[in-house]
Amino acid sequence: MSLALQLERATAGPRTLPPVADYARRQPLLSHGLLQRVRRWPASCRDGRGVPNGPAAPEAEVLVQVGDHVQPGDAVARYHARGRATAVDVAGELGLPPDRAAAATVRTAGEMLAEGEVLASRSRLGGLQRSHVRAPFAARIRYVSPETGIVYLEAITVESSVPAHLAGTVVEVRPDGVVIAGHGLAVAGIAGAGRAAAGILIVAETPEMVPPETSGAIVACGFAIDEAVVSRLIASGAAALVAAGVQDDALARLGWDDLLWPRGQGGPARPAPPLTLVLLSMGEGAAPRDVWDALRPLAGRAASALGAEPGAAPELVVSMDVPPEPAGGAGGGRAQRPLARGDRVWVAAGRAQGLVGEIAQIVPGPVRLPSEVHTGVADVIFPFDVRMRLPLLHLRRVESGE
Amino acid sequence: MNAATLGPAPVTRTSAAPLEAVDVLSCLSLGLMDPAAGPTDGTATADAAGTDVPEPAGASGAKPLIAADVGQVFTRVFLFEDVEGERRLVAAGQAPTLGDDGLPAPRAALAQALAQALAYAGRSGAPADGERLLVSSAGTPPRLLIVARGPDDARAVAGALAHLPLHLLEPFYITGSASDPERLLAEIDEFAPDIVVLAGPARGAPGGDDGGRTPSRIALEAVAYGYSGHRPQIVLAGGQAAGGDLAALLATAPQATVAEGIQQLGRVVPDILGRVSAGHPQWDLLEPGALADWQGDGAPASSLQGICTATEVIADRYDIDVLTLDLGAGHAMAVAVTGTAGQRRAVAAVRDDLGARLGRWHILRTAGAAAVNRWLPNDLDEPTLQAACRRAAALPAGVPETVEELLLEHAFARESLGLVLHDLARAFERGGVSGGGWPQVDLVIGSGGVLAGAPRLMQAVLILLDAVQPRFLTQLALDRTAALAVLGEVVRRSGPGALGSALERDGLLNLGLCIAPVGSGREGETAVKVEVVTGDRSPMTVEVAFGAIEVIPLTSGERAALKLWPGPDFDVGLGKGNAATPRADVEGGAVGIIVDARGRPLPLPDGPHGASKRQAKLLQWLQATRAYPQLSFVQPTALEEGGTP
Repeated sequence: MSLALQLERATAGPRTLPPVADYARRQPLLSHGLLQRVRRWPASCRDGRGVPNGPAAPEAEVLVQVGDHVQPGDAVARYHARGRATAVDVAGELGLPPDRAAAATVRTAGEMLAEGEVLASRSRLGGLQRSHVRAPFAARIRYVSPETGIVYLEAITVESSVPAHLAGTVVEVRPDGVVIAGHGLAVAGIAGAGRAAAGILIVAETPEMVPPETSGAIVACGFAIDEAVVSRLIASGAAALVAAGVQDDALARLGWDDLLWPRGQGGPARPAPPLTLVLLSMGEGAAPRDVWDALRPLAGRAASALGAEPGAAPELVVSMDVPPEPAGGAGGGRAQRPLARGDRVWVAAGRAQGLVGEIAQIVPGPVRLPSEVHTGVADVIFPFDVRMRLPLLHLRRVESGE
Repeated sequence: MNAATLGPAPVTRTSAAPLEAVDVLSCLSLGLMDPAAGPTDGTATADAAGTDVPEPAGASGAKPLIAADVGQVFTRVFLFEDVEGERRLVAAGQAPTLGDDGLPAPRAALAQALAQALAYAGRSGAPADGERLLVSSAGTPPRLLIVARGPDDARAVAGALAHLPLHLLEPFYITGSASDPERLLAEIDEFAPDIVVLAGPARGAPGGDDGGRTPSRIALEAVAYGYSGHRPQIVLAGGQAAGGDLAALLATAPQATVAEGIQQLGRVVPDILGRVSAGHPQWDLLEPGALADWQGDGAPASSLQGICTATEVIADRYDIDVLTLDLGAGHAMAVAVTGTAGQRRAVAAVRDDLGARLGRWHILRTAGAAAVNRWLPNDLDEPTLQAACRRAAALPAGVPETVEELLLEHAFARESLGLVLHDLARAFERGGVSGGGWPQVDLVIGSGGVLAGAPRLMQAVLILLDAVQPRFLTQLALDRTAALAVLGEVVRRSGPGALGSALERDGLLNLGLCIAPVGSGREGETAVKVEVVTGDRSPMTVEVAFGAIEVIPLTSGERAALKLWPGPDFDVGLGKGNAATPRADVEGGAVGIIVDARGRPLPLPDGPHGASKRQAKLLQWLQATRAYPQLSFVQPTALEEGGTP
């Protein structure tokens, strides 16, 4: 009998298989204690590759060393990300054959040009008439083609920095980033957009509690946000928004679906949001009271919100004043304990989405759900003694000390 | 009905092949014959019956093999051992690739899935002398942009690459003002290809030489100098096209490769795919260093390539035409292998934006709410569908708890497969196959999490039937263990003999034969009459009306002779009204014989009152096939205890 058929028959009879799936690691909704976070720089700043015949791409410059103390927002590295070059058709603009354009170009590859500076020129009528091609912006010449008469100009890059996402100590410097360990409270998001942004934490549990002045702040909203709140926060210059939920229609009207859900795994980069966004749940389901109970006394502290960066999950981190302790390894502070009886859990999806309960038991073996899908489940007790059997895949531990 | 065909139909039982080797697929390539043609002696029909296949070479004494497939959402580990002289798949384990924070955690996932597989096999630890193999769809499929002077060049390039699992973007034509490099760079910005193939006429060819300023030279420079750091790999098809100091340019452009002619692309691009996979940001996040035990220094093989290889091996081994549909959380692929031995051709279409979970948003945008609702017994408004898309993307490893959620998942699956099959049809058209679409195939294989994980096999059958809408007689099979990719990769590395018959026996579950008469008539009118004759039961005759779908029980291991009498306006492969019988006995399947007389193309009423008619029809089909728990889709979603141990 084939294994496929064997498995098929096994679904009909008594099941002896181990649970089909549980999360390999489980990140609780709230983590507190000693956290570790890796701060990476873009891959393009790691390989040093440049253009053909051109300078190598500059590598990131690490600004810290092991043992240094950093605050959220402090730069731990800086780099010049080189973007796409602009093609200038010198031959076409000067009316020259392509193979004569290189000779008309008065600068060479690698040289810098100010905006409006002459890039190439041609004299006619014995020098009585001169025409010029000027740099459309401040740029470095990346390549002058002797074949096509096209010059590639690279915009002078603005220096970018990699900010710390946590107050703490640098415990490791790696080729791709640095690892910072420090005490804090982390609130895990379910989706996000935008790079890490640091600021003072403001906690608003109702729309009325959002202050008019939020410039540079991280605003944690304990309610499902709508366009009005978002507009106010953008207008007042908030650095980041952490929301318990978002109204579905508001999400559509704000056009944030393009920010949150990439078009294919290998597709184009997502557009940058006007402020960093961290969503704790989808729809209008509020995040559990525990989150706001934990955040309320931390208002006014230094915090950092991260929406979407390669290799980082959306989260809010509030740094604590406890002196940081060095920690070994570079695990990034991700909890590894599977769910167990007694754990308080928040339901991330399905018919009980948004509810918080306690695991009464992890049911041994896969269980058939009403949909007839077999999966690992737990019996969860909710307030008023409501008991539900829910997939482990939908449960998230509420709190964890690390 | 043609009375002349109603005589006793001869049943040809072929015995050329050992049953052990073909028990899953022995009824493939069901050559049809006119019952009136008289009996045959079996040997004369063995070629068409598809059962006269070479016995796969065994892999006696092979070392144990632990193979893993790291997908975007789930990681699976498969344990192969020597069983009675053949390498066989003995156990499988599975764990989510992503942690709950949405980040890949493949090391932990592999350990957990391996532990599950070992526990299932009753082993205390991994075999010390075992080989290891890793495939992944985490960084695939690569996106490829063809830059050409016109549709003819683009078609030629696409044809040369048709067999590769690539997401082929719309070609970019460098003619007229479009030869402005800025437009090409904007295109690359928008679609982020991993590979750009530049195709152009040879220097000196008509319209191909403008001093040194050929469009292909402009395009080559744009891609080579437009980007710094990560940029697409460049393949120059027809290396002489760029002319001038091409050699010097290519020497300093490490991401550029020359294919001397378009035909050479089929050999050049697969090498580049490995480089692209190794450098893919998604793979970079999968802690490649931490997986050295599994894949050594390089990147893992592409699971999509493994599925393509497996499809080719099955087509070769049984000399049949095969279509495999693979639907993962983050990708959708259709690969068809058609033609006769020596002239067999593989054509693939892959999309990384049509995954069953991560691609839902794009499916909804592309197909529209009405298209998704076609497959639901109750229409959902667009905001509800959008919310479902968001939840699937936010929690890709989530499972449908209710039948409503399952129906919705399967509705998106149908649309996803429909869209990728549309791409496959275009790929065939680019290759010069007329008739619009992919050729009729003998076997349709379903693969990927949604299909393999369908709670009832009939659900997978209906998804395949609705997406493919096969005609006449088609065998259906399911990659129930999700092992097809690793099985294909084993074959790709070590040859078909490395697995013996494990590819079919362990990788595929025979779902059954689908009989789909083609034609139209009045609802309720008989579309086809099917007689099933088994050795130990009295013959059974079933009449299936136009507009209906029915299942005739014939379980795995059972064999039966079939006779088919289509209605006068219906065709089962020999022309309208002509009776037919397969040349070989039919092997039963896990579902049975499916008679799909719903019509081709599948009629789904629309218009002002179309919704209720369509929903009624859908309910009728779902209930007739017992694909879903009866009427459970109208259950309230009250907070209640669910689940049955």
